[in-house]
This record gives sequence, C-alpha cells and structure tokens, in this order.
Amino acid sequence: MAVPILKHGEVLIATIQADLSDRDLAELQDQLAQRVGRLRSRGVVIDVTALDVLDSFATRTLRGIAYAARLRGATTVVVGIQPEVAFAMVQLGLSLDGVLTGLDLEEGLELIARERQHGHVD
Amino acid sequence: MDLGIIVDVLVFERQRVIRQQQDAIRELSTPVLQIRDRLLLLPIIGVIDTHRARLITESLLAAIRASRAKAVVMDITGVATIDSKVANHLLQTVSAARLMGAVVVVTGLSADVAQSLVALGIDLGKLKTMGDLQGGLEEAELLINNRMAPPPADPSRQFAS
Amino acid sequence: MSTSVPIEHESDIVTARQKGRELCAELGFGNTDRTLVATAISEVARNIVRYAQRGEIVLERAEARGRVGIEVVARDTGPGIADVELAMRDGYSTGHSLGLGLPGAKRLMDEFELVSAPSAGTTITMRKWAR
Repeated sequence: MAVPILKHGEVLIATIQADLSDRDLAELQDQLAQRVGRLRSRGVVIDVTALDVLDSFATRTLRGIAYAARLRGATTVVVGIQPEVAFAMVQLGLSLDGVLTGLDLEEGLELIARERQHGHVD
Repeated sequence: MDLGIIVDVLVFERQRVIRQQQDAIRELSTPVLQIRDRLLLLPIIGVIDTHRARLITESLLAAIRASRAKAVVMDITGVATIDSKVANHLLQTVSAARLMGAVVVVTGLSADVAQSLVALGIDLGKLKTMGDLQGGLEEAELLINNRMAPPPADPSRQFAS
Repeated sequence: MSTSVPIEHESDIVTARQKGRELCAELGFGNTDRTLVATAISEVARNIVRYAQRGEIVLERAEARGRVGIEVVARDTGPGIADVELAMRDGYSTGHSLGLGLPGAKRLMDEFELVSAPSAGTTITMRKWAR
C-alpha cells in the first residue's frame, strides 16, 4: 500500500508521502472505502501536504473518497493543500466542493470532532 | 569561454533579481494584516488585473499558512472597478483560501455591484458577504468558533448531579 | 536542454511532471509557476494515456525576446480529436470536471497550440515564460 492509513480512534488518517500515480490514488480510494465500512469510522483525514500537484484526476479521487465515506456515515477532511497547489487548482477550475478542507492534521481532527458534535460545519 | 553560457548566466541572474524586487513590491502593495490569532484582514485597494490578482492570492495563501489563519476578511471597498473579470479573480482568491481551510468573508460589496454581477451571470451563491468591515469581523469570529472543537469537558464538573 | 519522456503507462504521468518541474527549477521559475507547469503537463500526459495509449512529452528550454521559458510538446499518434473546438470548450463555468483537461492546461500556460485530426494523432505545444 503506497499510502499508510492509521486508525486514530474513530478517525482514519491517510498521509500521502510522495507524488502518487493514478493507480495509487485509485487504490487509496478503495482502501479507505473498505476500512471506513469495516471499522465504522466516523471521519477520514487525508493529508496531502507532500503533494506538489493536485490535478483533475487527484481532485476527482478526493471527491470520490469523500462521497464514499459520507455514504458510510463518515466525514472527510482534506488537509495540507499547499499555497501553490491551491493556486493551480483554482486556475485549472477544480473544486473540492462538498469536501471539508483544513490547514493541517490538527485542524482536520478538530473539524471532524466539531462536525460530529453539531452535525454541520461551515 | 562559451558566449552562450555567459548569456545564460546573465539572464538567470537578471530573472532572480527581478523576482526579488517583485517580492519586495508585493509585500508593499498587498498587505495582509493579522487582526488576532487565526484571523486575517486583506484590504484590497485599487485596480485588479490578472497579475495583481495573482500577487494578492499568493500573499494571502502564504499568510494563511504562516499564521494558521482560520478566517479571512477580504475588504473590497477600495477596489476601483468590479467587472466580471475582477469578480472572477476575487472568487478565485476566495476558493484558493478555502482549499487551505480558511473561510473568507467579503466586505464592502455594495448591493449595486452585487446585483450587476449576478446580472452578468456570476454566481455569488457561496460567497459570504457582509456590508461593512465591523460586521465582517464579527461574522469571521463566529465562523472561527464554529470550526473549532469544543473545549474538553471540565473535570471538576464531571460528577455534577 | 531537451528531455523526452515516453508516455506509455499511467505511471509516466508522474515522471513527466516531475521532469517538467525539474527543468522549470533549472530555468529559474518561481514555485507557483513550477506547479502550474507540472499540473499542465499532468493533464496533457493523462490525455495521451487515456485517449492515445502512447506518445511522448518533450521538454525543452525556450527563448524569445530575451525571455527564458519552458516549451512542452505532447505528441501522440492516437486517434486524434475529431472536434477540436468542442475539446477546447471550457467546461469550467458549468462546473464540469469531465472532458479532456485541455482548456484547463491552456489556462495554466502562457501559450498553447493544438494540432489534431482524426487518425493523424495530436500535438500540443505549450510554453510558459519565467517572470
């Protein structure tokens, strides 16, 4: 498995550590969908700090992960999008609408805790 | 010595100096102010073209990372003209900030300008706006609180009846 | 300074954009521009893998009017694009993330030319100039 997935209570944390191929991304999506279901996780944090490109395929995959997680009752937060990557994404016209985003892992966990308490985070 | 190599080095050097100067100019023309912990204020003044919009966005995103900001109040009262191009630049800045986990409140958008943008087909749907700066800062505070986890339970109240 | 990256497997997409980033760094591009170029390369490289199965991406230093830049040529001998105008139509404003990623790549670069015809393959030439 290219991306290590850690279980942190009811939250799964996937930390991407290097540039991922399309196949690695697809596998990450499968792995997370399986584990969220099997472990009944309430949240998924995907840390993309190490990614220096988030293109249309990667963005679609992240949205797909969030969608699959939501179907199984889990909230997904993508954290660590770097300034240059955020800039390139908006220039390309990509959006992560429907996916929570945070600055880093700590914020990601906070958002999930908050969402579970109150049901909705802006 | 190969003249081609000398030219390469000179061009590279020149670009490096130009970039340094641009960085300095950027600092002066697109100030991002930290109001308090996690809250940034970005007053945008003057003409916004593609180049300037990019400088502003880059400054803002760097500031979000450096100060771990959760909210940004982007005040556009001083923006010279807001046509559809400028509006799209601003929307992109907002989107980029959101991707870094910061929520943006836009202040200084007059009802007239908002109406004409909507008439031009610009979707302002997801944009959070407040009329004035004070309102914007208050809204930003609320949004910051919304995004933070509740404080841990008070252990001294654990056995309250 | 010319590098040719064969594009045959989807893992070559990562190679192409990493090499693009490296060349940009050598040419003195700032961080943001390196990312824009790498992202554009990723989009066109994926196009080759998805629609033509194989092709190549050639990365080269470009120079014009005293400016230095990077030239990216993505070519394949695949089926070609039947309706170039349709492929280049911007789906961004309608929120579509489908399509060939070409309008997106064009937005990221300074210059963008596409030549394609059914059964004749596709050649995309893009350039970005260092600021």
